Amino acid sequence: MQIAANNIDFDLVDLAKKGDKKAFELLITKYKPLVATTAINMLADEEETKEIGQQVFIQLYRSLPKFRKEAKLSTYLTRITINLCLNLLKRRNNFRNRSLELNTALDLSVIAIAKDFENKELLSKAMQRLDEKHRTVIVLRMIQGYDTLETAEILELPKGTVLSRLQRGMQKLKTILETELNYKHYE
Amino acid sequence: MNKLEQQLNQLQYTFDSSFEQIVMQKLSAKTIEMWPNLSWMLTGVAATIIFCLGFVYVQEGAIYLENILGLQLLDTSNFTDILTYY
Repeated sequence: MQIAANNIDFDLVDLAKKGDKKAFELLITKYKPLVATTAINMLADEEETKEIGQQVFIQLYRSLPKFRKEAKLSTYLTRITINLCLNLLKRRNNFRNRSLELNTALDLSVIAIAKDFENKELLSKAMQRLDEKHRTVIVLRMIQGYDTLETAEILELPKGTVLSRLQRGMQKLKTILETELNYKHYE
Repeated sequence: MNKLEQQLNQLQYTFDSSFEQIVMQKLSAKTIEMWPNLSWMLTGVAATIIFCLGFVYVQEGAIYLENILGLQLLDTSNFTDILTYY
């Protein structure tokens, strides 16, 4: 099933390389949830997420001629998204002290796919209080559903580092939810 | 999977339906942006050719293919000898 999906992607890539704009548009439609989910959970800012999303697909389009069919397209796009987000976060001097108004931000053009659940906003806020390295691993492992090996490959880290960051990050997330946000209904 | 993991798994988003169009428009705009560079490059090539032709004319007083290729002083009698020999 996964191989078939990859083949469809590679067929679309081949068509896009030949200048088929419709094929490239189909790739955007297919992968925009992946890019949006990664970026919004990393940045918590709708405008920046939109900007990063556009940059990701523009970068993909430019790299089409040299795109090799060795990696899955999803992995490739996630790697670009994470790198662009981390670069942006570095540029944000006041990142840690930013006031995060996720609900307002997400009402515009980044749309929630899953049904809203109680305290979703709270969980998003807690995520933003994590440092980048723990947040990145949680976004990839727990939100995007990559396995440890894929996460390690995307972040170019050893598998053990991913596992320890995940464990530490989840622990920190629970602590933030309990102590800073007074939320204890996740168990 | 505990409740926290389930809730994290639900933090899924997407872009609205206009997103594809915005990206495609930006890609078109970037392609168009490259054209001014190309026209400058062609202008440069044309100017260089004209300059070279002008230089040849000043040096030689005329523009013939031999002048341009630098063959005007070439003695072709040897070639004729060689051709006769064979």
